[in-house]
Amino acid sequence: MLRTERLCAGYAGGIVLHEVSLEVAAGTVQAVVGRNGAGKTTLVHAVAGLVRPSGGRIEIGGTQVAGRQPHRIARAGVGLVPQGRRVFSRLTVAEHLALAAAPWRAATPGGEGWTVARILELLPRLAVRLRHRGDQLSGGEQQMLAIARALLGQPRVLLLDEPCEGLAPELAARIRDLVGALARTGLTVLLVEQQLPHAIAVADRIAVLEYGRVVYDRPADEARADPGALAAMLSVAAVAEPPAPRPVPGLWAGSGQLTRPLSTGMSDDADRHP
Amino acid sequence: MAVDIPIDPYVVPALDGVAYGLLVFVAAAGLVLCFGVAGILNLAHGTLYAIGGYTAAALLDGGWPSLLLALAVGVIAATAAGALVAGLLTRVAARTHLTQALLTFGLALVGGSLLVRAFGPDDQPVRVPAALDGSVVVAGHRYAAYRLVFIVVAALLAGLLHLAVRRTRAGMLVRAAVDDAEMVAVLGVSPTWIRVGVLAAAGALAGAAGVLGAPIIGPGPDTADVVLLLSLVVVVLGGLGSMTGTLLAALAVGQIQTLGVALAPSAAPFLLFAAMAAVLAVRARGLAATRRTT
Repeated sequence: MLRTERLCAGYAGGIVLHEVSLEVAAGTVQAVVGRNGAGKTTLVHAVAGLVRPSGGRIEIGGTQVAGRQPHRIARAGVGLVPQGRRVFSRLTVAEHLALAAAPWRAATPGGEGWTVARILELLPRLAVRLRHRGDQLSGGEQQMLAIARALLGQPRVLLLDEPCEGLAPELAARIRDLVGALARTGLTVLLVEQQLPHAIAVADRIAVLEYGRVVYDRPADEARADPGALAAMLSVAAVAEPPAPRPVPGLWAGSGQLTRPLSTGMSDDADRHP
Repeated sequence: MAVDIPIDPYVVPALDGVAYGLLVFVAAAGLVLCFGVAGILNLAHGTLYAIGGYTAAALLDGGWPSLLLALAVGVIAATAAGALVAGLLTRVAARTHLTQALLTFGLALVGGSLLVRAFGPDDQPVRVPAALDGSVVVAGHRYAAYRLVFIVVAALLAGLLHLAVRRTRAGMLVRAAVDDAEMVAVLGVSPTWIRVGVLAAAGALAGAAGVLGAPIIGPGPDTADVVLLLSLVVVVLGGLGSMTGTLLAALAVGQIQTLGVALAPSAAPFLLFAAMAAVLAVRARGLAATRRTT
């Protein structure tokens, strides 16, 4: 469903991703782990169109989308839950949901699709916060809202950039459960994580990014069988020498359908601390 | 020692200030939206007002139908001009404000020249509907009926704009884009359409202000410059993307330009900019002090 082939991307200062190739099957969770600065967020942004690739391919369901503008990639079926949530601070929860409900996909034939009612059934905590603004929500509520916002765009591929960051352990576990449940509906998930335990808990496959290169990409079962090896590898990656920077060539510009009920427990006992 | 200032002589200037301020609000609101939502510094904004003003001068004949016709034509023409500016900005939208300013300043020069060529180099007289061409008594003073009605109409327009921003999907998009335009794009909304929509809406507001406000800031060779300057002052004072701040700033500008000048005539030439400098020195982000649209 999601495939990157020799993907190169970066910013004005130089290339961050070096020929990253990943293949994520429909209905699976591909975790990408790595330390700060490894290129995880750049990878997510490149797939979402927020960073223009300088080389390589990005395919969504066989369609090449690399270089397209973010709104076109969103309409091609990519939803983004960004790092830091980035909910709209002055919009209420209800307004977020109304804005995110993708009118261009409302008439998509087949399947139920995500509706506001289904979202509120899945994440009932949001139902009691409908009149509150984004900046009045706790971190966990903001994360739920960011996920809800992405799902209402009827994505086939969901990009999650450190969704457990800054959350209490119990809530982080529930977010992980939700990610797993979403994948079981057929949604393809690319999960970027800095914390290895979060990735191991939910992923079908795990890749390690080291200085913008994929240095490990195996089924998660292997990591679960010997998590110490992967942790040691990440530790080794931390002290490895980074590759010499290269100039960036060219110019730089700045749905899965639910097939069975979800049960996530993401209810009204979410953390309440802004 | 208390200074005893008689209030009575300042009733009319204060009312004029409200009318002037509301006119500046309707004219400047579009510029605030352009800057706050689309990140576009549109120096041709005053020309959009002038299009409305000249339309009023050309079509108003003292009757109500001509006022409605002028309003329709002025709004449509200014909306189209706003959309045209958005189209011409497509290639430079992502560049610096200096690039945008240069392009839109050029468009303002071209637009101003075309209007002068079409209507002549003199200020144009505007005929208000005969029923409003007289005066009414307000607090013992005679006051122009048209201006009084204009205050009501402009207040209604301000209210409608507030409702549109607060209650409609387009308004939600505007507020979301002020907050995080990148996330709006990630939701599948084209930034190009947001830019075109906002500039067209800005044109509509400026066009409406131009027609209705022609008896107050009349059409002439300097009209576009005056309106642009006042709008920029309002942007600076009110803060970006804040309709509440814009309204407060516009009303303040109105009072400074009328009541302030009446109170301190010798300071008239620099009173507005002195006030702007004072606000900037105290609250650099403007009167609203937060980056929001309310």
